[in-house]
Amino acid sequence: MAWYKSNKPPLVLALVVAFIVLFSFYYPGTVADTAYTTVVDWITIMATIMVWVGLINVVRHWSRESIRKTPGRWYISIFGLFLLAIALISGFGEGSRSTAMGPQMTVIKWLYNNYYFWGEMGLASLSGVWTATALYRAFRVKSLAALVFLIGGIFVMMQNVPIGGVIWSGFPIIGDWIMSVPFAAIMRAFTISLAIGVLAYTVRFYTGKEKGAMGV
Amino acid sequence: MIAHTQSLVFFVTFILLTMYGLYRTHILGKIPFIRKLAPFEAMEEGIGSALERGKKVQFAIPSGITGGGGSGGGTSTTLISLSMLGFFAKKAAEAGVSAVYSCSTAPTLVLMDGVIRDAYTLAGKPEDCDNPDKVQLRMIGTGQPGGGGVGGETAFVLAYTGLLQRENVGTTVFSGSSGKNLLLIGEAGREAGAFQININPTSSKLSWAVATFDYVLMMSEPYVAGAMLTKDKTHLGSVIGTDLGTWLMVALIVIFTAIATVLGTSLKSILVG
Repeated sequence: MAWYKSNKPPLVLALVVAFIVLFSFYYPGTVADTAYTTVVDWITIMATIMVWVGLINVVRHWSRESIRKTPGRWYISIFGLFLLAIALISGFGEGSRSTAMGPQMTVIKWLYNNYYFWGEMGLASLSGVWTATALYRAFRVKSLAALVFLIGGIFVMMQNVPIGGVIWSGFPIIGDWIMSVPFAAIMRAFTISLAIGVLAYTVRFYTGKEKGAMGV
Repeated sequence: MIAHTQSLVFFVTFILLTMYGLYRTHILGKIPFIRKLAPFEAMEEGIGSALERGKKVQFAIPSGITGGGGSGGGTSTTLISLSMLGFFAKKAAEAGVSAVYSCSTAPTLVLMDGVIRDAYTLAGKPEDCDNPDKVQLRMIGTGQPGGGGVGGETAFVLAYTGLLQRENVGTTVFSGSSGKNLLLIGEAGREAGAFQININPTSSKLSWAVATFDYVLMMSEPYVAGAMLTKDKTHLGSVIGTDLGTWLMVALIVIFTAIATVLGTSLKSILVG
């Protein structure tokens, strides 16, 4: 395989960018800062270009489903294309006449306030129901670990509801201790192990041994 | 002038420890034992189970690639998710099960496309990538969970939960977190009767993942998964470095806690003076 078709060029490029970022972090105020700003600008430019790739993919998918009349989905796909067309036409139209961007545009803002926002509120309300069902299953005592989970959960719940302190003044104290001592300690341990894992991954990635992100 | 000196010391120390791990595996030939991670075995079982039940499998990456990412996870989460995707897609291709792959950002979509094509090619079925009945790659929602902005989290969550129902998904892997909506995602999957695995290399809403998903590959586990899968000496060496780094941190915490307790002063004042 020719070298330019292998994963070497992107790997070398990633290595150069990584060094720029590291130098800019550890040696601020040098030429690395300028290079870092340029790299960040290019990331934004590339991400913007890739949005168009995503747009083409979505249009292809929805168009295919609409044309094939995929059961249960074709009308949703047509509606999706319709909304996409409204967003694009109104966006380009208003964008050529005013300085408003994205959510500040008249039609987009109207769609957000009258269509999207209420859907989001509906979704948020569902979380209440799902919390109850998830807690029911999580709190079934099938093992010693589940029992500890249940006891800890009860104290933390009672800490967060006003009636907890009324029932017993110890609930808020113990609940607060659970959150600020064992929970905080465990989360810090998680965070430390995560950071070390990322470092090890970084070494593998830049030595070309972690190929998953660039193909198997 | 060097900035963040303490951070630099730790960074160099952990790189040196990893190098020592590589020296042990490559030069000394001492190969460490890596225990099997249950979620990985469950992933293979889930693919087989979906095939037997005539259902599809799904792999979703909710995080982005350009840093940040809010509670959905940032670049490192996406990179490790792509590694997991390669393993999953290859197994799905070998089994011949229909698969839906989804993401929430355009850059991730492009990367996923490459990884999936490589995996199906390795499995000897490159033609499946262009057959929508076998492989579907979708960008659902825009932005990324936790990233905020219009259409960020809600659109992705709704699309994901809808996919579980409409596509008759039997096994799903949700690689990343989704902030406050992880619970909703997990419960919707349970309602759909899907076998669910969460790869969660973030500390975001881990308790909800444990409560709702069947298996959770958490924190640093995904980062050592490559070693378990490939048995490559470099991977195994980096795991040694990870373990040594962890033990070093534990030792430092114990020592400084003891010093702080005896002297009645904080770690920060000991280090900074």
